[in-house]
Amino acid sequence: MRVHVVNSGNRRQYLDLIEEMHRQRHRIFVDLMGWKALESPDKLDIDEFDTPAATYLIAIEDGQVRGSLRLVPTWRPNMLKNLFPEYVDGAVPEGPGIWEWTRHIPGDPQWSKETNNKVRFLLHIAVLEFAASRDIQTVTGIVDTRIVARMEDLGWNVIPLGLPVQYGEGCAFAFKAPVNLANIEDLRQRIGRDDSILLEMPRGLNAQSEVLTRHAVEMVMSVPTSSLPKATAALQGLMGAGDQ
Amino acid sequence: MADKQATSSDYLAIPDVAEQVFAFVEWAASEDSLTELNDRLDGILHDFNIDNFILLEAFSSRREPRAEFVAGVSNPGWRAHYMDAGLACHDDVMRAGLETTAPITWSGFQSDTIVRSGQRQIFEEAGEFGIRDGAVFPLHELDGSLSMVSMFASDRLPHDVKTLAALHMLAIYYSIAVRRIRGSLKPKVAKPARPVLTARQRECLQWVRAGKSDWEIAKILGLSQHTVVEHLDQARKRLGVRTRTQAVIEAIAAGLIHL
Repeated sequence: MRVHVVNSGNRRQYLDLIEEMHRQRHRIFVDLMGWKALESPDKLDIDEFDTPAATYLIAIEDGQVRGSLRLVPTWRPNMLKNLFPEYVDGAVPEGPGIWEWTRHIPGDPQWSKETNNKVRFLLHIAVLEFAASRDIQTVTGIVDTRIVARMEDLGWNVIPLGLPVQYGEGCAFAFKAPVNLANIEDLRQRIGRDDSILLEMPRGLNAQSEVLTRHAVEMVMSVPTSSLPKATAALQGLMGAGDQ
Repeated sequence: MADKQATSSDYLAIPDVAEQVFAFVEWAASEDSLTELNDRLDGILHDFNIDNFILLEAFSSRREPRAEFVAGVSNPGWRAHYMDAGLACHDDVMRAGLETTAPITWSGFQSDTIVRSGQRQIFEEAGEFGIRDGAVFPLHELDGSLSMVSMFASDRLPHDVKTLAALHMLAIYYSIAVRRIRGSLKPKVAKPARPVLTARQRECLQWVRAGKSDWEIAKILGLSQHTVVEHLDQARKRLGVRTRTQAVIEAIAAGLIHL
C-alpha cells in the first residue's frame, strides 16, 4: 500500500479513484458517522474546498481507495478561514508553510483491523512526507475531541486554537500542529516500513492535452455535484480523444 | 453557537478562561511530574469552585462499568463511599457519558432528564461530603472503552458554554498528559524485539558462562545465593528458555553477554 499525491497536475490519471474517494467520504461521513449536513443524493461528498487548489493524499492498495485526506494551502480559501472562523480564538493561521488538513478518512470498518491500522499510520506518515516535499511547517484543521489523544499518540503536538465547540454529532476544536519530520522514522518503525510511503505520479502529458485537461478539470469542478459521474465520463472521453 | 457565547452575560467568572486553558495545554505537554500536573490543574479549577477532579476508566470496551481511578485529586471520603457502596453500577450520570462527547453537569442532568430516585440519592450522598455540583467529561477511546474526567464542586458550577468548553479542554489535555507521564501512550519508537535483561541478570549469566556455581556467583557479586537463583530464573523467563545452558546460548546470540 502506498499513498498517492493527487492534485490538479496529475488528477486525470486518477479519475476513477477520485470518484471512489468522494464516494467513500460520503459513506463514512454521512452513512456511518451521521453527518447529515453532508448528505448528497449522488452519494458523493464534495464541498466548496474540493477545488484545483486541493491536494489529496489517497492510500491505494490493489487498485482500491483505502483512505484519504485533503490538504489545502491556507492562502487559498479553506475551511477554518471561510467556514468556521469562530472556532479560532484570534486570527486563523495563514501563510506559506501552513496547510489545512481536512476530510480525513482513516479506513473503513468493513476492512480488517490490520488494514485499517496500516491505513491510519500510512496516512499520517504521508502527511509528513508531503510536508517535507513542500516545506510545510504547520498543519491546521478541526479535530474531534475523541481523536486528539490518538493524534498525540501518533506523535503530533496538537495545539488548540480555540475552545471545543459542540456540533451535531460530536465535539471538536480548531488546532494547529507543527510538522516534526523526525516523527517519520518513528512512525515507519512502528508500522514496520523502511521505505517512502508517498508516491507522486508525474503528470506525463504533452502540452496540448494538458491544456485540455486543465479546462476539463475546471469543468468537473464547477458542474453541480449530481452530474459529476456524467461529467467524469465526458471528461474521460475527452481525454481519450486528446491523447491519441 | 457564537451568538450564544456573545449574549450570555454572566459566564465569565474568570476573564481569560481560554488564555488560561491554552497556557495549561502548552505547559502540560512537557510536564513530567504527575504531582505538578495535579497541582497546576487544581489551582486553575479552584477558581471555578471545583475542589476535586479525577481521571477514571469508566467503562470497559464491552461497556461494563469499571470506575477505576487513574489519577487526580479526589475527595477521599466520597471516593471511598462511592467505591464501597458500588455506586458506579447505579450512576446514571456516568452512564450518560456513553452516549455523548459533550460535558454533562450534574445540575444540567437534573434539569434535562427524569432523575431516578437512586440517582437522586447519589447526589444527596455526595452533598454529605460537601459536593453540591459536578461535571463529567467523557473521553471515548477508539477501542470502545470510556474514560472520563469527573469534577466535583462545592457550589454550583458555571454553566455557560464557554466555561464548560474550557473545562472540557482541560480535561482532554489533562488525560493526555497523565497517560504520557504514566507511559501508557504508546512509546513513539517500537521497542527492539530482542529480550532485555537487567544488568544483574546479565552479570549472573556471564558468570554461569564462566562455569561458576550459584554459591560462587553469590560470593563474587556479594549477593545471597537465593537472589542469584532469582536473577537466573528471571533471565530464563525473559529469554523464553527452559535451562540455564540455553539461557547462556540465547544471551550470547542476542549480544547480551559476551562469549
